[in-house]
Amino acid sequence: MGDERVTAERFHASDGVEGWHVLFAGASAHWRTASLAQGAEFAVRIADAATALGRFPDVDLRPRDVVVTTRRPDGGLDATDVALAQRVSAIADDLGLVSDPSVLQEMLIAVAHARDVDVRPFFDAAFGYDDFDETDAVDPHRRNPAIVFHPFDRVGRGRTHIDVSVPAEQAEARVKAALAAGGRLADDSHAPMWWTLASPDNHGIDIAAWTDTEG
Amino acid sequence: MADTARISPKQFHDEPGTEGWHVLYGGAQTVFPTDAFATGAEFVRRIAEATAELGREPDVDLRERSVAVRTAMNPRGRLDEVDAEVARRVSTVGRQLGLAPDSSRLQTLQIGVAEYAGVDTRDFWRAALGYEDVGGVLADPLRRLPRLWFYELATAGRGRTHFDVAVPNERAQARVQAALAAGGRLALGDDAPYWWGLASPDNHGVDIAGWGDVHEGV
Repeated sequence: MGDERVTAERFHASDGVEGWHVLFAGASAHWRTASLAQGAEFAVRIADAATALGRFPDVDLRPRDVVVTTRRPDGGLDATDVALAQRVSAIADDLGLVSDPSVLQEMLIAVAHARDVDVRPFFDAAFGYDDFDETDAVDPHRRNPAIVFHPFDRVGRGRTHIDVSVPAEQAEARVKAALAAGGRLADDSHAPMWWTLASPDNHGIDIAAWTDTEG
Repeated sequence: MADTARISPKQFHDEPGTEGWHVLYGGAQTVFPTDAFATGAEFVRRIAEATAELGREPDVDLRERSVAVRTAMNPRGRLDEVDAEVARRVSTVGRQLGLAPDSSRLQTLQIGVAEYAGVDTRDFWRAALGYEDVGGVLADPLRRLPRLWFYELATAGRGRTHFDVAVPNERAQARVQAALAAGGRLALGDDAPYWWGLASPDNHGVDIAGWGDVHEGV
């Protein structure tokens, strides 16, 4: 299937992908399960679809939940991801599983560094991560959040911040909850793509909706 | 299963059949490399079957070429004997499929959030991340994202927030050496070989923790 990249907007415009959201790690969806055994049955059927398409998603099984994430090896989405999402959703429907997109989220750790210092080799070594692209580092088993490195040019929220991507329609509620819990809105000039918050102690956290709506 | 006695990481390792498993943040865990995604899915099916009667269902992360399994008696990651039995059964069904644990790239990340004295920022973090409080740490309800713990800002100089990387005990020293060779600095070494406090070339804090895997306390 096609190599052409599919934007979040086009992904959502496809049929049969209701409940999927495009977050940092790719297109993700969630279903509740009655047991690990039911999740495993789901996984076996996902494997059939994945093998037929040659695109293998990450499947996180919990006793009462399954989260499926698909993306190309380079991190983007294409028509194969759309096809896989459609098939996975059809299998879930067939098994009578109920989705709850409100629990979906992904995290990135954004490490700020001085402009003239390359700190990625250190983080790769300390975290046991692999280089990804020009600027990122990833857990080889994708069980821990990816790290993105950026030059340190904004002071005031500490040097490292955490990015959280959530389904676009959840973002504003998440921001409100964080503000109600004592947070401060440090920068909303990019809203509704993302909101830059500071903890009561001035620690940085961004709530990102843009991955899910990007055209 | 709620009334079983807790066991320490050391006791877990002393149990027969737990070879290749490690006690890291979140519970006892390991990774089984696979030759194909479908093999991994079949492994997951057998794991569910083999553990169903124990009343303890492990967390399983299925990837294209690996399956990670984690078991714990509670969301905090504490262990009891049922977890040792889960590990045994998972390794047994793995063997039937020709799979063996490989912990060479197994690790769990935790984030230590520094706070000024007298400031409590937990409610903010819980709200911003959608986390829940499990015995003093904040955790992702789906156990997919790293846990947060909080401490009073006392040691300035490595930045305010640091990352803890828990690795299998026997791999901790090598991890530290690799990070030092990559330009890191040993900032806190007094508690080695339990944990090492490193600073990045840019003075960012990363601790390598090997203690959790061999701890004798429950």
